[in-house]
Amino acid sequence: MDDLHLQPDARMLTVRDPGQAPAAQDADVEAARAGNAAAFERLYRAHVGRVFALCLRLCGDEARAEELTQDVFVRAWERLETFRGESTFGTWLHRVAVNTAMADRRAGGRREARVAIVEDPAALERAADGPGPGERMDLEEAVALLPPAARTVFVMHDVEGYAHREIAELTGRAEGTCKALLHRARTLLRERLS
Amino acid sequence: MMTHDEIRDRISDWIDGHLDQAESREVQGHLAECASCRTEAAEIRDVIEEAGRLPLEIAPRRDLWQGIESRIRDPRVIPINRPRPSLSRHRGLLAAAAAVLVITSSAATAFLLRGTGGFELAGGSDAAVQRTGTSGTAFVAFHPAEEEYLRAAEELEAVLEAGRGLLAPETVQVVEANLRIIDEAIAEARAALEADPNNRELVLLLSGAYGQKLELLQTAVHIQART
Repeated sequence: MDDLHLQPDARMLTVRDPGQAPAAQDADVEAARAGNAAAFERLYRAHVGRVFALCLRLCGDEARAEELTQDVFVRAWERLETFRGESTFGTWLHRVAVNTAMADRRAGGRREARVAIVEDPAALERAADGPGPGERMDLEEAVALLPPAARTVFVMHDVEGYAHREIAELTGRAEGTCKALLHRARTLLRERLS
Repeated sequence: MMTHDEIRDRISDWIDGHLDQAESREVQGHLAECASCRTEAAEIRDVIEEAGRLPLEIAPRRDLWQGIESRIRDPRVIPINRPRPSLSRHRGLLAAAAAVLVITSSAATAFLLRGTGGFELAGGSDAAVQRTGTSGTAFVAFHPAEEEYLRAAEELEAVLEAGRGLLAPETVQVVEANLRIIDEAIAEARAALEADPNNRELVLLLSGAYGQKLELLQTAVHIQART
């Protein structure tokens, strides 16, 4: 049965900085910190795909993910002074994105009907827009239909590679609760995908 | 001894390696005997592996930059530690700088017209100031006016820097490029005056360069205040 084992937290999160040479990116970070919007746009272009993917999976709705992505970059602009270069800019930005998404959820943000429905875990089983008999649901679709709390933990742990300790810290939940939510998410996904 | 349901609840933790040795052995033993739990464990592992293969980047369908740009250019959004100067502060500083500009220009001109160092104007034009060749300290006598220029320039630069994010990057580049040119002119005039401290033509050149610097800074701050 050992072949079923995965190394714990094997995908520990370090977000590489895509598309730009490190020196060019460092220069853009410095310029953006000094208020240069053109430099900040280059950083946006290099990182928007990563941020949008995270927001989309965390909130489960494309329109909301676009709004959240914009919020993330505006927040990053406002907080650039706090970036000390101790991690890559991408890692720092990723953390800003998670915090923004969590704050949005805590604030009760806007909920699309589709997302609100699946606050009830049983809704996953009766999701009207799921695949018909004999059709297999795509993992992304199945993740979008998870209850928000379970979806958050699943995305952060299994997709993004955060450790339970970090997820607990970011979501304000106990580690044990995060583990239980992860198991719930995986079980629901397994049922939906098999 | 865990029940079947308790084992099922621990399958994720077991896969992730979060169980202690005793629990892990118990789950493993159960999986060896229970086909349904074995299948469930294998399928959960598949989900985890598939999640690990999901693309970490997804491009949004539309360009989101415009919405971001309009918000970061909004004066309400200022990076922290970069306080936005208030309009009233802008106005106060501009008025003060304008006054300094007038005063210092007048002081420099009066100083020159007065002929403190023993020089006189020919044709009534600053440009036609003629050096008389007497001993004197034209450069030293210009120092109070220079200090006023420097103080005014420093204040305007501080305002400009505080609201730097309000100006288009291209505008900032032009302002900075012109400031560099003027600063070079100031540096050259000062160096020449140090070598020839009684040269009033150089004093006029230095005064003119400072005046240009203040005017450029004032214009930039005006633009910034309107943004």
